[in-house]
Amino acid sequence: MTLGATDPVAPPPVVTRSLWRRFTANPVALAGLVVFILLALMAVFAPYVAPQDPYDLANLSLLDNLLPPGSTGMNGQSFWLGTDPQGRDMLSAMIYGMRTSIFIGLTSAVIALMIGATVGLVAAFAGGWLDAVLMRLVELVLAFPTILIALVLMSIFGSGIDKLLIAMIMAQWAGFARVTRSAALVEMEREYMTAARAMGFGRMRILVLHLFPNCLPPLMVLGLIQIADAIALEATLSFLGLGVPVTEPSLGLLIASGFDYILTQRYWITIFPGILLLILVMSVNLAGDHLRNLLNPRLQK
Amino acid sequence: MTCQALLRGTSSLVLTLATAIIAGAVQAQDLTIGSMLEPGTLDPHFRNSGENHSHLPGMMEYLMWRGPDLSVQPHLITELRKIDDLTYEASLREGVLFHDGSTFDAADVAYVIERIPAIPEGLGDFNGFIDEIERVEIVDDHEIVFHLSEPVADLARNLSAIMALPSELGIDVSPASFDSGASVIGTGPYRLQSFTPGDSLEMVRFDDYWGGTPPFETVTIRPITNDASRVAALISGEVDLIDFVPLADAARLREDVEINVFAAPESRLMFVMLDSIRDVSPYVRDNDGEALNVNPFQDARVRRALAISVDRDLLVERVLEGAGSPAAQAFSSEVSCTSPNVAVPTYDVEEARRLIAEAGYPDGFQVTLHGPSDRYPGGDRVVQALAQFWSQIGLDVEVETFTRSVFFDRARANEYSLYFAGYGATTVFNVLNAIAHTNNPDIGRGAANRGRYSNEEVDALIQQASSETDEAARCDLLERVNELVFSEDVGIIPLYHPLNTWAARAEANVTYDPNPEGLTWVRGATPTQ
Repeated sequence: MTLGATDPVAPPPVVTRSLWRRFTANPVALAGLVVFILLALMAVFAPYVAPQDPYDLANLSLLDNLLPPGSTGMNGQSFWLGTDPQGRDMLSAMIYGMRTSIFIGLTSAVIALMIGATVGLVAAFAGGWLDAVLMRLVELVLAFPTILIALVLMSIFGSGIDKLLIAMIMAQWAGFARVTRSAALVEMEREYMTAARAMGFGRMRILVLHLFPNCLPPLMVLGLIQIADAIALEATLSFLGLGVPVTEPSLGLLIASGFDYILTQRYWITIFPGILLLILVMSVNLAGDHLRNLLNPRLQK
Repeated sequence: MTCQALLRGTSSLVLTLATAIIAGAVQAQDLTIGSMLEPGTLDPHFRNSGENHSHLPGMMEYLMWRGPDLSVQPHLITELRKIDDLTYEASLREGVLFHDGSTFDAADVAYVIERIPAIPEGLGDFNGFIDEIERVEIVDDHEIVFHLSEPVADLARNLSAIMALPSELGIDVSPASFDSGASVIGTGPYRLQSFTPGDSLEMVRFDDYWGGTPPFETVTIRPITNDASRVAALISGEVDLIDFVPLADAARLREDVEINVFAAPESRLMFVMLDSIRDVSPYVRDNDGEALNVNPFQDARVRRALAISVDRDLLVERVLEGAGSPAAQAFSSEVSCTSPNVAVPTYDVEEARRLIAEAGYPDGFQVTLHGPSDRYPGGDRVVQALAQFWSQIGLDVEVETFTRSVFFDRARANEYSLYFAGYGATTVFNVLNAIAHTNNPDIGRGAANRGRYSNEEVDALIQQASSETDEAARCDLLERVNELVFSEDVGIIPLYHPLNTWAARAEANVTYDPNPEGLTWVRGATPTQ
């Protein structure tokens, strides 16, 4: 039971059962969602799914390095997708790498969403000079490409997963703030807001229980698509050597380390992580795009 | 070995040239080199850089030269005789012509020594080589005397960094007049044809070269800084020869019958430096991640354990794909001043485990190993491999790499507990002086000793060597330093000497004689028989 449901002027429900039905009616979007969930499950249960723990250096033998897909290692283990220059099983490295990629992508997108939504709501609700200051700040951040902001921040902070997260959140929050503010401005003109104000509810209550839930649909869409962008951004930063530590490669770093070998017929080091990254980002985008279409009245037939 | 003895006998360089000349007579041909290095200026006395020492000596020649074993050999100066600590007599080669037709003589040497500190807006890059030369006395056209202000350990070597120019250029000649081509007048086998910065440096044969007719009709240097583009230019036939072949490609090109690969160990030591001065080291932790209140690297047993748990053969074969050789001391043993008593540490994990346990760490400890991500070929893979080796003896090694500028700034600030880097130079003395002497930048010693290894005996030997003018005596001192640092103290863990690789298209009929300095010399290239 939510507090909002007991309100005499309850706002209209945002996510309905019919939305889910309409979403699942599109096989491509559904496939995207299913693939993403499957990949996410693999990532979560990586220690049980992956044949090897690629982060345990004692496990890796240089004698097994650069083996082609389908090879058998010194200790009889099979490397279905080959090994990398350190003797890491590519399949395991990819599953663990995807875990890092999804974790960073998801966490940074969610935290950026929370920060951005707060800033946007406050700006819209407060108006006046606070709105002006916050929105100029947002515009300043949005004026630079995300990758540029993240690159600059990473070169200041240095590498490491924690610093990568901070840089990515700082590069992403502004988009959420802008979307939240415009959604909130529209909602503030609605009757239920006037009614809530007329009822004498406190500002906090109106902000959190009435305004915020109704700004959620566009945020959900943006959030979903931003996860894909965040995964790609993390891969880009890691590819450039600014992200995760070399002993715990994410998908981007795996692609980067394979890049040295692209002209030497050792295609597997870069191609397989590349394909996995493509599938991962595509699946999120397919689901996100369809959700956006459903929630955008102008695109509905 | 004295300077005189050093200069006696036939230089192998002259031999190489002679072979080249015979081959050149058989068949005239053109040569195009794709180089990672681009000359920044054509003034031979402006910038002391690998770029300029690679591409300028085809046109302008050193007074003395450095041979394949890095020893100094006669060239334009045919003999350097030490009279006393402050006086050296030199005989100049006769019959040497500059590209403008004038004769190389004593006045030209005096001119060059005078010009170097007087270059308009010069950087002073070459001042260090001639600082102690107070005066050049001209005895006759081909006999001079160097009068020094203070003793110099190795005057011949200093002169091997100085290229000759005709005195007719005048003392005011500016670096710009070299870049325009007007003043590029040397005694070398090739004359400047044209120089377009960023695009090409073209040279043509100098028919009156004193060493005989040079082998190539024309030589073109094309700067191609991107690794993949350089390899692609070679494969496509755009260039005949390339330098700095990337590791992964070198292995493949070696198997390609269309391509010939030439390689030589570089006079550079790749090593791991250990924090040996602090009682508590910043990146050393116990197995629960808590800071250790002792610095395990102050214990020689731990240092030795780290040294012998690295399988250098495997490292070179698998990680560097053959582009290196296991290291025991400052330089590989073919170079003089290395000790016969220092061998590559024998790989022995059992012994390493025993030493670590004996030192009081039976379950190991945690440590972070730092390295530059973009300085040395394959360097990022080497640091990971080191972490793998040390995990075998129970150490939990985290690896952190930074881009080169960040990495070396932090190294200078002594921020690391363990780090991987390298040092290259043309003499064992220069390497040991930089990495093994106690860090003391004020007196120009230990500049690259960022683990702060310090041994009074080593310092004393190095200082003694720096003023020892007798080469044999100096070598004895340096051999002892090698033994102390790498074998007895294991103050620095030697890893490998990198291999520099050049590649030529088989069709181009070019052989490259690689040199340990990693320079791409036009004179190193000869037509294949």
